[in-house]
Amino acid sequence: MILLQMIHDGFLATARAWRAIVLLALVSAISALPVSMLVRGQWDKAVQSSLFSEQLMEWFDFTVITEVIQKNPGVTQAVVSGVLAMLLLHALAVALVGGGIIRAAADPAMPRTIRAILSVGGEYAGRFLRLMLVEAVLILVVGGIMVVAAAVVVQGFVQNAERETSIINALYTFGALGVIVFYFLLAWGDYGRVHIVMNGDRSAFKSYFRGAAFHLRHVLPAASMHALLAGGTLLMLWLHWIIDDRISVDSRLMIAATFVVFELIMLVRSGIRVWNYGSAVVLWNSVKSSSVPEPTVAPLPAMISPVEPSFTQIIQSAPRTVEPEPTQRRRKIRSRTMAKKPQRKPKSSGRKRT
Amino acid sequence: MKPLLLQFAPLAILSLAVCSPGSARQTIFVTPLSDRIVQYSIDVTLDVDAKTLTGRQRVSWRNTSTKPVSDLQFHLYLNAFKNSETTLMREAGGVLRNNTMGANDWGWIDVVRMKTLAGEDLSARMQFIQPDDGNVHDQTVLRVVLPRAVPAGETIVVELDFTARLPKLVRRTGYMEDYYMVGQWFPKLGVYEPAGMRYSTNGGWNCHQFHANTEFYADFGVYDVRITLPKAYVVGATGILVSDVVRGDTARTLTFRAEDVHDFAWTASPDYRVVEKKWRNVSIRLLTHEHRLGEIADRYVRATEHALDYFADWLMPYPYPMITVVDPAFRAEEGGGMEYPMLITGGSLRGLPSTLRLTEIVTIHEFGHQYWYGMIGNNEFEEAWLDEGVNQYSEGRIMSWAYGKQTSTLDLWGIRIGDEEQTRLQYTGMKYPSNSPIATLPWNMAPGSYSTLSYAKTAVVLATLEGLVGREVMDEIMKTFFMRWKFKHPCERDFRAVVNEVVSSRLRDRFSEGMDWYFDQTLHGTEICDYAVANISSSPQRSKRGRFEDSVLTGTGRLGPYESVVILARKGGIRLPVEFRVTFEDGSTRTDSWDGQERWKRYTYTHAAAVTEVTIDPHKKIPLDISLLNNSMTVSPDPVSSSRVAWKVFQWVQNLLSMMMLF
Repeated sequence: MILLQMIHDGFLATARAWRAIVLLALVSAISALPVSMLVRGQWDKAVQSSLFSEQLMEWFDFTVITEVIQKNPGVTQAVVSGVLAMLLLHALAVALVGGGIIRAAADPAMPRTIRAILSVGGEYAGRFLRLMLVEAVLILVVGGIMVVAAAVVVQGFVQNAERETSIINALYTFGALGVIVFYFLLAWGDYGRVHIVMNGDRSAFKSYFRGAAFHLRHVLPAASMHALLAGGTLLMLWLHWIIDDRISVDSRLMIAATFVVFELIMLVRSGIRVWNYGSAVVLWNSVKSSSVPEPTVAPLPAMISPVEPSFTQIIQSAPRTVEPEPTQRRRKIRSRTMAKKPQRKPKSSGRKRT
Repeated sequence: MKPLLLQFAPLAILSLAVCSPGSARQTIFVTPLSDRIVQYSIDVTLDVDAKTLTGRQRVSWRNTSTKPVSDLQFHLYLNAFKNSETTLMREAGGVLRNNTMGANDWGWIDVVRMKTLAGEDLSARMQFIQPDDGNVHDQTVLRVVLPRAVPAGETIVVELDFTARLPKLVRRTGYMEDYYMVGQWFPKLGVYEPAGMRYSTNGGWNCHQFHANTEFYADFGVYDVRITLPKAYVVGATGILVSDVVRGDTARTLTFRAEDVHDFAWTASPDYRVVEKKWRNVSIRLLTHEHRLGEIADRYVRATEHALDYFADWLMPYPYPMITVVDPAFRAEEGGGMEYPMLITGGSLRGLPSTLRLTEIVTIHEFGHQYWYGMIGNNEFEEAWLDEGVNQYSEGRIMSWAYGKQTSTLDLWGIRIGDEEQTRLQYTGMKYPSNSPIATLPWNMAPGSYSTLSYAKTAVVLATLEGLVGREVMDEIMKTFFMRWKFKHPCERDFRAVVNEVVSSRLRDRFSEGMDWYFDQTLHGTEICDYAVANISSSPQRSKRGRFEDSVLTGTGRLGPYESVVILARKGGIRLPVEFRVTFEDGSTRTDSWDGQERWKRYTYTHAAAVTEVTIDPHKKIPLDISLLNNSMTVSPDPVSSSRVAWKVFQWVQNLLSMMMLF
């Protein structure tokens, strides 16, 4: 029953927070744009006024791509550097919007303007970023251990197995195991983020493990929702691949048409993601309401009026919370440090607190 | 009076035929296809515990020269794996295809006794020689000085006993547990080249040491081979199975006969599963494994059928009654990708996608060697390109025909790679494409360049030759060469002679002098081929202005059509005639040719519209051109093409970034 409620209520929350979906799609699109422009610039530079690139009638013409790379090694370096830089920036962007999206899905009272989502997200950005780091480190460590284990096991199979089927089965098993582990690590991170927003947790590290504990306690509904997320994402990827493979993009009109179709697919993917967060909040609320009567939602870090406020109003109306904000902590530390220099007055952050 | 030995020679041959069980019981070809200079009769026993072979061999050799020959020279290939100091091991740096030899992995062969058929012991007359490098540790060539020379036209028969230890699978021969790929395993005569044959001026044995980058060279003949081994083993071999006799409870003896071949290889494993299929009158016999039955076995068979079909139409139908295709056992991949007469080894791995056509590439390539090596018996030591390169060219054509030009190697998730493209890119991607000519002894080639020069660059040179003379003339060249030289030992000179003959008769107006100019540059030169469009400029013709002898003209208006100047450049050293297409703003085009001799050439066009595009080699007839990027130029690049690239990148980067949303 709780799973059905998660699906249903999560969907309603997603419908309410449709701007969060748009925002999520926008973030990836805006991030991808500079990379593609960089590629275009480098491609033009490499190809110059040759007609060569017009032979690229299909997506991956091995001759064209390889020749451009062979003859222009600098192009590859520039593109790889650009993509890496963009991945880092994108991580920051995702951390910036994540909290707002969860809050928008969780709190019907919150105005769902993009500005409000960004504003609220900004309050959680630091913790989300740290949690992302925790996730990344865990994935790298666990992934590394699994790769080493797989290598040892497969090497053993290579030496002892009578046929490659055993090795391939071992590899598939490790692959499947890896997917499951990866899936759990991500799901725990999701519930860690929900903890941060719903519970107001300060420590990203602790939030991650609290999220993990929560997920494991309610593993059936939680894992089912993440399975829907994974299935939906794969379905959309497959749909995209089919369209990309079948349609020849050889004019501006086709580029525009496929752009619209592709962005619709990305919107659906973002919707599935927000839906997943919405359902996680539903599960969290349901569990907390059965054990702790109130409150089900942590106080908003910003006092946001149902009437859409200005950005300055949002920023200035941030409430005092029970625990000092991390920024306040840092300020205190800095104040202690700066106390050694009495002639200088501590600078105001420009943010008034009431 | 004939020497005693030779007086008995006819009797010896008769005895070889009569005493050998299975031999002459079944004739494959009523009319011999080759000169049959040699005849081998071998009894060999495989000891699967010790990994050894014990053999007795009779070999007859006919002196086809006009001079007496005083010695015999044998290849003892297995001795290349005897220790770390052999020529092969030294050249390979002790590492053969990423394999290092372990303490028990070495292999060798000892000729323990040799005598004439009359009983004259030749053992004391045996000596190892090192004709290529003088490396005294190399024992891959054995010379036997005969007590009496073999007169011209006569035949000598010698009998020898040998023991061999198979190496752990290396260079496509040896064992891996109970899988055996037994190639180059018996004492095998070199080729006596009479004066005038190939490059021989005085006549002599052509019997090179076994090098890291060389293969083989031998005379055509007849093989009768009896293999005794444990009963449970399934055997595949060159030739056809004549008899299979069970000996006691544990052993069996299989007799194979092969005619008009120049080598004999065999394989054995208790785990083989046999798949048989008939193509016309040829039996395809696939030796594979239980877990590869089904899809992988089907892929082997289909690829073999494609190759049989193509060669039948292109050159001539496969003449032998059987082709054995060996799918090496798991962890015995080292034995894969090798050609022997009537037997090839492939390569496969369960779990790989079917549109990654590695199995098909290897099968078609190795089958192609049945023609280029198996029947065209060139000297692989000295002119590896003549079989490997020609065969690589054939492989590209067959793969394109059977699996699509752009998809023949890979067609997966929208990523498509063609076999011919892949071959060209192997050459154009060389770090130092000018380091050695193709026509170089392989052991003298610059390190790391043997494969690219002998296989890829040669295939590209031939594909470019096809582009220059056309597919129809190229087919005539290949067929003429094959039919004229099958079951013989042609060399580069013979190939060039056929090319010149066909081209100068079929394309008299263009290449009346033949194609030596082309081969001199591509086979013996190290220059690259690179033509480029250097510049395009157009301006409308204007009326005359200024002071002239009898008047001052002040006209300023445009007068008449555009005058466009196109500059083409030859950036590489290779000179070829090239076509180029000029496109005008009004959509009209014209195609011109440039003899490609000068470093640059200016072309001026007067046309109603300006020139907008120029493309050298628009039909991609010259894959030898090392850079296609500079083969074209447009005055107004179409932004859609780079937008398409950017758009595709955008989609997949957004996809990637969107996956990060999961964090």
